[in-house]
Amino acid sequence: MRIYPLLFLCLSPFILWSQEEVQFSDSTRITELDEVVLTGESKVLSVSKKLFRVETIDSDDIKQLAGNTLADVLNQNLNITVTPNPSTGRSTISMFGLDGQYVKILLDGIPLASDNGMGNNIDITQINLEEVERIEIVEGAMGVLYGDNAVAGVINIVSKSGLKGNKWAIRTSLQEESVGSEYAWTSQGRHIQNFRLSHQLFDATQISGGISRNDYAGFFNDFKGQNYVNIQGGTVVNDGLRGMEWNPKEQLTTFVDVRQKVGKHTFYLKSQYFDEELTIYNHLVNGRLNSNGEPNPTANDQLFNTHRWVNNLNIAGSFLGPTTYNLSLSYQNQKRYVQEYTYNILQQGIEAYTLDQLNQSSDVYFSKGTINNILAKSKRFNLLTGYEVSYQRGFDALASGNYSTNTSTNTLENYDLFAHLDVLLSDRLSVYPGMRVTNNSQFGNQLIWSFSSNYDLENNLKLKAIFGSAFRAPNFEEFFYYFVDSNHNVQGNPDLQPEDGISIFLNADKKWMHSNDNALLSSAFRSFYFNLKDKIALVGDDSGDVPRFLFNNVNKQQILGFSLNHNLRVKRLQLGLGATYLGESLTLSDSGNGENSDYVWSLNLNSNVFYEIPRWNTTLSAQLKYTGRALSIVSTDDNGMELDRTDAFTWLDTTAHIDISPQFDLTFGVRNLMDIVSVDASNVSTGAHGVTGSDSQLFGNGRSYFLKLSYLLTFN
Amino acid sequence: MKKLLYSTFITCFLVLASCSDDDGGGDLIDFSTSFSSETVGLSESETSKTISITFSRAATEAGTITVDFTGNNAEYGTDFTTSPGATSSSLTIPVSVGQTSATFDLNKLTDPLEGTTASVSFTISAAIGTDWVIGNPAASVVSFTPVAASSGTLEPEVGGPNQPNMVFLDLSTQQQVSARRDSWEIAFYNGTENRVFLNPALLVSAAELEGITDLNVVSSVLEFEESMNFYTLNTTTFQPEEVEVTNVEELLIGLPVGYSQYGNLAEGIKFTDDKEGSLEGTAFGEISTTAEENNVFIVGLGAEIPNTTPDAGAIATTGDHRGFMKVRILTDGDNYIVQYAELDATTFEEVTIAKDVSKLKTAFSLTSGETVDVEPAREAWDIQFPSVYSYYGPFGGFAGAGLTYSDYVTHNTLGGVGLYQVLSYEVDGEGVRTDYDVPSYAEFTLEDADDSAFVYDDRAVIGSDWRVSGFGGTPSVKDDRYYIVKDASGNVYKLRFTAVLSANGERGYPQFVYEKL
Repeated sequence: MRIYPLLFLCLSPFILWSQEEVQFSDSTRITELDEVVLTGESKVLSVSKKLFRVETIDSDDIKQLAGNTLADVLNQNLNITVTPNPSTGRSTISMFGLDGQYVKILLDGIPLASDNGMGNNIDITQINLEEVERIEIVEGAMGVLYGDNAVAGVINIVSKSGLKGNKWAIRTSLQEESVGSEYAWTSQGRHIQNFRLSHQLFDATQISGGISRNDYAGFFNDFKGQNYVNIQGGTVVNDGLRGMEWNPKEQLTTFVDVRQKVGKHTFYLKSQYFDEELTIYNHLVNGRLNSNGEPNPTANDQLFNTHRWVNNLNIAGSFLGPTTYNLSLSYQNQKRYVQEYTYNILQQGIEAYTLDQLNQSSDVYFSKGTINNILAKSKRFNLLTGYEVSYQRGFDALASGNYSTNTSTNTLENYDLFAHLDVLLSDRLSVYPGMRVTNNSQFGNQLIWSFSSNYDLENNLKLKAIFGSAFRAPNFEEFFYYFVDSNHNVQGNPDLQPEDGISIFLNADKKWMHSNDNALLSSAFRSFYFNLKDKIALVGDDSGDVPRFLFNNVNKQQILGFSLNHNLRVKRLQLGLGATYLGESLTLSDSGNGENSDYVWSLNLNSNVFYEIPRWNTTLSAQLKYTGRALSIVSTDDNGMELDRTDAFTWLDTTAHIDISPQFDLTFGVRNLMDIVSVDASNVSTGAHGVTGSDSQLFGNGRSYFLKLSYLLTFN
Repeated sequence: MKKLLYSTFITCFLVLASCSDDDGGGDLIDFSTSFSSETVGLSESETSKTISITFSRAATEAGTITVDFTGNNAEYGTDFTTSPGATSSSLTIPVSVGQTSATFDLNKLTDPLEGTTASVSFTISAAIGTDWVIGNPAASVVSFTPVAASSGTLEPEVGGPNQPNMVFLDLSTQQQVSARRDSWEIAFYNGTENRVFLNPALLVSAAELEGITDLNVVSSVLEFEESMNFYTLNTTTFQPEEVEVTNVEELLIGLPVGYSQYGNLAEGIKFTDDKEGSLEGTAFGEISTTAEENNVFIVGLGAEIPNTTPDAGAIATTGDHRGFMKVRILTDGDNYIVQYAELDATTFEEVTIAKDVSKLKTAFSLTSGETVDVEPAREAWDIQFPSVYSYYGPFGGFAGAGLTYSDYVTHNTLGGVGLYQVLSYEVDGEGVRTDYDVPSYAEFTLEDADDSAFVYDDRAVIGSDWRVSGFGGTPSVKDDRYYIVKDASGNVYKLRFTAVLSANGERGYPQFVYEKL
């Protein structure tokens, strides 16, 4: 008899579909059903915990950090590094040392279109968190369920689930934040306003809409702004101090969503429009003399305007008894416009517009469908099958290079089929093999597989082994870049194959409970290994008449790591402590010996403390992350390795959250208490010209203070 | 409850509205009109001059500009006219939307009498449009004879990011003469020695075929009796490699100027003239008066001037290679004889070129078979903007490579002009700045000039070092240096660069100021 509860444990809490099945049959009253559907729905869009180890940043965590964009909250994750780029204003992430191209970002399970890809290489400052219920972070290659580019991992953003109990809900919030020590009512600092309205239209229908504005005035640091010029002895001295360290941007996110229940089917439509204006002030001042012989300083500034329109429709439900389905349809559109203009510094106005064009555009059509519980009658087997189709059409003038005339529109199509089998070998042991076949219009067929296994021991000890594969599709630049003149010949390669990656994760999770003290300690030990082959690099090619540089599938990379996490909960105190020790090894095609390099190791630590003071309705928290000295291999030969280095730094956020009344709550705190602006780094790898790279990497704005006031109004 | 709902709405939108300032650059600047130069002189040969009025920004509406003038020893209708024509000493110039400048012409009808001067003073008297204003300078004096200038701001007409022109400038008269870079390939020296120069602004190169004096035996399939050995830089590994060349076809691979151009500096083998522009450093060597000693050369005709428009701040100066010709040069008394043909032709052309002592060099086009008027008279220029400049020389840690520069500046060493650089400070690799004990540009006087420092044997003292190269970014003028120039008449000037880009950020619009000491 013990088998039934265990089976249930294995299947039901973690398998979205089974749970719904139970709920549907149980629910008779409509009001109850609605609630059930809404919670069930966000599971529909979730990552399966049965197959993967899922780390969650929930809405309380986001609230505690007063996070407005994804960049505000991912800082603290052990295996994720957020790298901002001051010249483009973008922030991308790397996971296990693999850059943003290897990480797939999903919105409710649907990959998000970005200016550089489909789901991957996303500027995480462009992802607004106001409507977010939780963020799920899953590590490891997950190609079977999530397709291309899910190599290092997947970040799934799950939307808020809507109303609970009231007919109307209005939520507004104001957030004021300093940027380092810089703050002024409009011209400095960061100013955020949010508004959201939800309404239960009918018993089975909910609509919500909202708007969020994030106005970041930029970070001056040692720079002196847009109107600065240094004129000495009748000429302009270019001291490089004009402009800003971080350029200002203003983002507006608006959304509408509709939830509708029809019988055993739920419809969820989400439409989101994002608009960003990024102004880039040139550090360089052009000191041409006017016809009086006096300097007429001008600067060539840029304004980037990005629009993204996301329309996602999710339909989920059941038919034929226990068999359930989930269907997603998505149309997304992303455009980036650039304006270049000549700014007259003394007259503080625009002298001429020199460029005004659309320089990036992509349209994405996506659909994914799954059918689960196909073998509903079997107790030992369960089958999920599905398809995924995507069609992308677009161009990117920046990625194809200044010299390219080949900025014409390109299309990319993907047709995938996948299946996933659950096999319960015994009470304790289950295995989950999976497979996906991909047909891509650019590089043909690919086969991806996965294999997970769970083994539950006594004493709350669980073992999990996850083998997965995934590939990274070559990006636009790698396919289509073009720079050829009398001294240079650098070209993209349309014949590139995807980079193949496999990952192995071995997890051991253990929980200890002490009922007297209400204490819970959970610990997890993990070891992981990534193996990437056919890595794309720009390499010399002597085969033709003219030597040239060509992108090619030549390198290999191995990543090996160990991590340990502890989480302790005692009454009002919650304490987390984690460490990862990560090694990277490369096999470079031009290393000569063709052998793997030695591993170079780095250490990351994080810790967080939450303490509740119920009397004051207050939660205090501190979150700390130590990012150890990061090394990456540039070249390797018999004499050893040449390494890029980024020094260690510690990121510490401290916040307090107070529920003043049921309607009002207040969050305030200090971000980046350690006052990190830049970290020493050496970049020797800057290409054929041997130009020495920058000797520091910018990471932050320095110590910043914030205050957020929220107001929630509910009524019927 | 509704009231509360409305007030929440209103508060929220007020907050949103109050903060949505335009984060862009802001408004357009005021529209003002001014002359582009306060003084303009016509050279002896010029009969008309275009006078330009520049605007602070492009006109967003149509309007008119009224210019009044008074003649000095010059009368409208007899000594000069203007176009558009004038009535009662005033002319009206229409301005249409989008224009960034307006022009009118002054046509000289008579030359002033010997020993007298004549000029016309123009003044902008009205700029008619909404909020249009008259800027400075509002007046410009146009002289009928060259103006002896003691200082000025010069904008060599390099021609934008393709840098299509080479420009010759005379500091004492502010005259500039320009020619397209692709109008000639070789130039004959008019001095006593018999020398032939290659056009470095077009990336022209030449390789001697040892022992071959008959043009007709040379073709692309010719096999050499003895193989030639060179070094080349492999542009993918950036390592020098040895190459053995046994026929013309193999030679052509390494003849065009580029990083991988063949050469062997240790043995004095290079296919370009030297960087310094000396008589001894020419690829053709001295032309012998004995005909049999003058071998055939294969000349690489250089790189086309592209007509693509690169991104702001970048250049596009070298296009497709223009092909190869075979050339043999002989002398006949004070004449040069040039024999030339297409590489695979079985007959050849022969042209005799007489030395013209008024000029340093006589330029010749191998594609048209004619001499080309490029350089002004030898004393009528001090500074040259070849714009693009190429030579084979040491490069970084490598013994030799064919190098191409843009924004290049040389001075007239063969014409007796000397120049040296004054460095006011230096920043080393660690970022440590060392200031030198030299006067600033503004403070520099004739007493500070060091007569022994003038360089007369290297025309590339300025070179491209006056600006920070644009590789990986936008180029900018270096503020750590200025130059002292001594022209052939002994006038000493100080000179410094003020711009490498136009106000709109396009490359190929250099500007410099100079002042006679």
